[in-house]
Amino acid sequence: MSSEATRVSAGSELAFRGSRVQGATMGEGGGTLLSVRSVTKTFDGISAVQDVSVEVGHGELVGLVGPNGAGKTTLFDCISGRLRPDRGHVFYEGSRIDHWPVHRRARAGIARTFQRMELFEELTVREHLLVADRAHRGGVLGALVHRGQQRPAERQRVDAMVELFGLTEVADTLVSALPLGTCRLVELARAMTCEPKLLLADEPSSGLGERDRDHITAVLRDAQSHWGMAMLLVEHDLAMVSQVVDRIVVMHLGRVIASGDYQTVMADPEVRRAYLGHAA
Amino acid sequence: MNTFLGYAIPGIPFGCTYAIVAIGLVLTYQTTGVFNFGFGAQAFASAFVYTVLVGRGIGTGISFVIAVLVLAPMLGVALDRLLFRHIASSNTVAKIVSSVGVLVAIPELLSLIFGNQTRFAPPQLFLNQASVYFHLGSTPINGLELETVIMSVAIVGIVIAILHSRGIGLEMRAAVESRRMLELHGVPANRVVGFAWVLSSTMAGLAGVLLAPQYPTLQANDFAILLVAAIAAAAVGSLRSVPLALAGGILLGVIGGLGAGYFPPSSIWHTGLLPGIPFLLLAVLLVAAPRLRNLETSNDPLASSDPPPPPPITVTRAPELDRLIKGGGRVLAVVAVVSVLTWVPANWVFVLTTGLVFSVVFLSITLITGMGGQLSLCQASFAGVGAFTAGQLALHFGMPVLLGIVVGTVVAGIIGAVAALPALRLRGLPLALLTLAFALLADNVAFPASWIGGPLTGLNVPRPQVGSLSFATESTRAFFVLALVVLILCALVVRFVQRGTIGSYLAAMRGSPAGAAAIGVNLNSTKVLVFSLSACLAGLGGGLYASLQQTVTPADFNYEFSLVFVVVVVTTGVRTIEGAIQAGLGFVVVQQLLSYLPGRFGAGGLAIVLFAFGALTYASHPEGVVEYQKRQWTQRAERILLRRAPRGTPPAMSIAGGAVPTIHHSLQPSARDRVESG
Ligand SMILES: Nc1ncnc2c1ncn2[C@@H]1O[C@H](COP(=O)(O)OP(=O)(O)OP(=O)(O)O)[C@@H](O)[C@H]1O
Ligand SMILES: [Mg+2]
Repeated sequence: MSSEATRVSAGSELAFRGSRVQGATMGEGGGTLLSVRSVTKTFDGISAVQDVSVEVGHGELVGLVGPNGAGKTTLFDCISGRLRPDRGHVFYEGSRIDHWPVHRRARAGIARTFQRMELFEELTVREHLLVADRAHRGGVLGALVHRGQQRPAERQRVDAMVELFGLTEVADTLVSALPLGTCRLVELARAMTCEPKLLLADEPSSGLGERDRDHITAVLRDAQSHWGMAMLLVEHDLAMVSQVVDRIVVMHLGRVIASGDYQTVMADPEVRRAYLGHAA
Repeated sequence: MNTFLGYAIPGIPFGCTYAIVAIGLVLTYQTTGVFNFGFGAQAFASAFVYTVLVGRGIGTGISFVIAVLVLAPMLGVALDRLLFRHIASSNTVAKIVSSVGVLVAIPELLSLIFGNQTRFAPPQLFLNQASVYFHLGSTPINGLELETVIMSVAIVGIVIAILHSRGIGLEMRAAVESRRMLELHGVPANRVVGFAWVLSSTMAGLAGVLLAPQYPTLQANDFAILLVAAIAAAAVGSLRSVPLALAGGILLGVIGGLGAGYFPPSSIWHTGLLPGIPFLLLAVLLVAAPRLRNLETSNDPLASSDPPPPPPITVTRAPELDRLIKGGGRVLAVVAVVSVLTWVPANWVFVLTTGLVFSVVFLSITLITGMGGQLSLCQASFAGVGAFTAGQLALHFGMPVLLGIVVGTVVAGIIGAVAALPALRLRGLPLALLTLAFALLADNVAFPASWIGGPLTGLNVPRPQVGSLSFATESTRAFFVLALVVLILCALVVRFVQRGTIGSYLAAMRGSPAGAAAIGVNLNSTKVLVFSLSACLAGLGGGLYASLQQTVTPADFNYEFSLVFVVVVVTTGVRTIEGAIQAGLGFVVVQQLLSYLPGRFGAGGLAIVLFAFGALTYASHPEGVVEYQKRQWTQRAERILLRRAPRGTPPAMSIAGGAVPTIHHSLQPSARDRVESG
């Protein structure tokens, strides 16, 4: 990353380290937060996701890996509500949320980042966080009568996020003028502003150089230990996955082919075949 | 069976003309990414020139060659070279606005050049309209029908032959699959694109010349219906398939023929439903067909390699100058208002009042297009709803007109909200097409009904009277104050929305709908709200307009005005409240000034042409060309007055796509590269 952003990165790790939000939900009784049951999604006859079941507990960190086209992003879309599954159900905190629209799931605590970033080009970094802070709280009619001015509480929350993610120096810059690595951070910060109980991170390090990758890995880890949310992490960089997650789920051609702790799963011959094209 | 054929067969020639334009639309849209609304006007241009030439005694054959084989392709080449080629990578709204500008400008330009007297339909090309050549079953086939079908079969045959040829045909078919892939393979895309323009413009011209003899007089409006029917036909093939577009066109023609035959002539079906069928079909297809809905997110594998839209320009004026300009502006406004109230002659007071009323309508475009980022081509129809509601309530219930205007505003808002429902899943081009279909449905189905649009002679709407305070004709100044107060209130509402939370939701949705939804923004209710609020503003402006004019007819609010409104507002600046007010005042003032010109130049068409040319620059000046010029001038003033280098100079934008700002501290790929891993 740029020299500026690297300086920033050191700051952000410090900002997170050792702090822990009160009432963070990590390991909260270890109950199930998200339960995907036999979800199937087909596009024009191609099953992108086929009969997939995944469970994520409160505060649990799960890696979701698999070769290109395995159906990881499609599964994320089904969980976040962007797509409706053809079959199967999604349960979240004990309720079936299949028919919930995206924004309702977001307000219920499912936040996500996107593989192809979905930032708001005309807004600054701070405005990104502000709009997220407002949107995940209130409905549209409330927003209609809401003046633009920031309330002190909002300002405080947004400033705190800006600082935690080390974005102070670029806080008032339009995102369209920021380098990729910083944009990925902004997307992550925006997602975390929604105070999620479950974060879906879709390839947060894709397209980044090694230093940016290390930085975002550190930020993810720190954010998780700070807020204690559960996380599903899609990532091609297996080294990164192994540093962050508690266990992994491997998908291939729309199906889950293995799951468990990193070492065991990676030793599985079927997984190696999926990745390398032959049994190693 | 014979009756069936007897009704169906006369529809086929109409269907053929729809199909020809539809195929042209598909070809250009797929090879260039431009959905050319201008084809309606291009068809009109060829028909017009053909009519004029034949009228001057030149033979039909030579006239045909000049109008269809020379003028039409030249127009296509000119549009490609001068306009569309430069905006190939602009965003959808910019492309639509530019082609709408063409649609609006060409007919006005033609009547400026040749005068706008009534022109009777030209004779057909080579066969005799009156004589029956043979019978199909028991249905007589006359020369006009035969000729249209023969010509259509010929041109479609030629197009199919070209598409299946190896060289250019293969390249065009490849471009229909993936334009970007073709470019990657090093095929000179400009050649394919240029060829597509020549071919499709010729087709539009041919369709125009074939269609013209079927109407009693030559009117641009009939060609707009041709255009939208062709869009509906192209929509049958999801704007992708040439054979389906052909089938869709003929199907529409046949349905029209059957409807005309089977519906009793004076029934509601005949007068109400029949003219609306193409627009209904288009609306239904847009809402129901997933492939049309997802036009923007095409399955072109290289879609993500499109360059990003130009970054928004942030202007910073030196604070001294800012204060100077703002102060000066206020003083000027006060002087203007005081002048209007004291010495300005009554006819100019009327003009300026009309300008204020238009500004109210134009604020609705600021809201939906400037802030919502979506193009609506039916804002004049919402204005009509407000106007007719106020008029009918006054006529039938004796309701005070101010109250009627308020009710009209609410009714427009409700209709806006209802209209937003089918539009919820659409954005960009499909949404613009849907709103155009709405506008034409209003024109052809709703407004002609006398309980809505009033009698043919026009619906009388009184001026307001509050107690002893009269806004009648003698006291136009009082109406000016009323309009000013309403405008200020509307501007405050829009500013409140813009700066408030809804404004930031809208900015988020402009940037990324998926991102906005993922942070909890309810896209649907935000959209419904903005549509409805925008319709309210348009309805309010329409009601005021009706009361100011005292008589309105459906022709005051037809689809053409919706297009002109958009064109005017994007020229002066669609992003700001100031822009809408400039648009309203500028539109009427320019028209009034031009009316002092002699003859046909004073008729008002020139003003529309000027604004339409302004809209053609929208792609390179999305903030509005007037706004752009103003900024240039302030910067110049800043340099001279304050003797310092300009601050916040906008990044240099090329018309070809817009520069990515260079970030001094970054060697990393910018976010705009949207790298995908793997
Ligand atoms: N909108 C869509 N329409 C049609 N097919 C799709 C769509 N989205 C995904 N697919 C297909 O579904 C399959 C799974 O895609 P998905 O994006 O979920 O994979 P992924 O695991 O995220 O891959 P990657 O690692 O490349 O991101 C692929 O074959 C893809 O082509
Ligand atoms: Mg993916």
